[in-house]
Amino acid sequence: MKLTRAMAIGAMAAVMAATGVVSGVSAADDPAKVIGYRQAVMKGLADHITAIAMVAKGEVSYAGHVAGHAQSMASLAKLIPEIFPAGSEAGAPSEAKPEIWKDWDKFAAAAKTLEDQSAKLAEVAAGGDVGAIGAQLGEVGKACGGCHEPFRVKKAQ
Amino acid sequence: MPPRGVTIALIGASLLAGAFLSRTAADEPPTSPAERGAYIVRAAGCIACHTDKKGGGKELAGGRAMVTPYGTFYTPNITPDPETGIGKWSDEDFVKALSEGVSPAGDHYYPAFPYSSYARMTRADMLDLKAFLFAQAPIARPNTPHDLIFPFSLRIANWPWKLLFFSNRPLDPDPKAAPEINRGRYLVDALGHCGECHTPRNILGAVDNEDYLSGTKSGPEGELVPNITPDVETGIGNWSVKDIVFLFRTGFRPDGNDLQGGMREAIDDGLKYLSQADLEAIAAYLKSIPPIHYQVRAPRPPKAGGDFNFD
Repeated sequence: MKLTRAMAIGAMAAVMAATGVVSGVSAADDPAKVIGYRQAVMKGLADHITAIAMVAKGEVSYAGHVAGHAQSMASLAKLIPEIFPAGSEAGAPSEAKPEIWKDWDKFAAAAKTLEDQSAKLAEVAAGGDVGAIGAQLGEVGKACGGCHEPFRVKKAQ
Repeated sequence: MPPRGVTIALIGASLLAGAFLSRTAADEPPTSPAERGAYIVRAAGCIACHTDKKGGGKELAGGRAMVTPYGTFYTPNITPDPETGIGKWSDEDFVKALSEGVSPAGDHYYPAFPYSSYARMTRADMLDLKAFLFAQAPIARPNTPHDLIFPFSLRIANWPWKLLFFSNRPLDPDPKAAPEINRGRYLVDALGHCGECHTPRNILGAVDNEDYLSGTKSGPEGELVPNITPDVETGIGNWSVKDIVFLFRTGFRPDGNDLQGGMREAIDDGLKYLSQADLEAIAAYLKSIPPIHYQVRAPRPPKAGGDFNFD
């Protein structure tokens, strides 16, 4: 399996958050860099899904990795509120809508839902029930929509 | 308790290949008309439009607003309530509504109701669908009138529209195509009515099959609708059958991006419940149609600085 740069960044970020190295966003960070960083984290989430999908489709036989990918997703999801600091609305091309900062509680709650659903995917994956894993992946996708529907500029999918 | 390595190996074995994707489908053959209809209602995607989820409405009781360039449509109640739903409809009423786009009172439906697609369903599937709907709890919810701009507000305008654009010829299987491709075509064109969103419409709101399934910038609710022809650059030419089936089951593309909007609803209320064989048939059919080169893409947000371009 290819370990992409975004996955590596995401994994490092998750470790740093877990160990307390990252304790909030510095106001000094360049908003363009914050946007680039959060896009790397989002790409990390997508790459974990791609990896799970490759297992699910039978393209690779790393079935034992699914729970780990899901745990990594939960760790990345935990970072979401921090990587959308006030003041990062503009500075680089971004699909984040200003509504994020107007309706912050809803945004943060939706991010928490992704964390919870990803953690549940990890549990389900460890249980090995293939049908349940597929269904839980659907729930994770719905959780993505908790933010993407109201808070992301629509694009052709 | 077995050692961890053994557990992982067991999970690995059980996750192998297609098994992962096929277990969520109901693979038991249905026996009664209502049971068969329960599958048709999924394959035909009735629930997403005929349920006002945002307003907390009951399933199939209608009232969902559909914003279009012609105004706002409110979907009708299709529960068997005799006064506000379709409880008084005969079999022939139901078949006529689906195959001719005409209500029991003789009114012509707007093409927002995809009867152009449903007209191609078999009569047997229509009657199974009706059996399912009539087995549901009746919900009393009077229909909300549509709120359309002139001249579309005149229902009579649907009649010349039909003369111009509607044909209710059945979908004859192509004798040269494999059974799987014919089944896929039936699922795509008659039941799934994919072209109602994925094929662009002309100025009068009729789907333009010259550009069959090649996507549009002006989909329902202002959504961009992707090109699902097998064009490699702008469509799904690089997708495998497994990629397409995985998307139908989970709502994730092969690149890990999540689908939202109308397609998420189509999956959650319908597609993900279909059998493995049917989802593979849809995928095989989509890969068999002529590729059309057409890039559907939103205008990019203005660049505020830097050239970092995340897609």
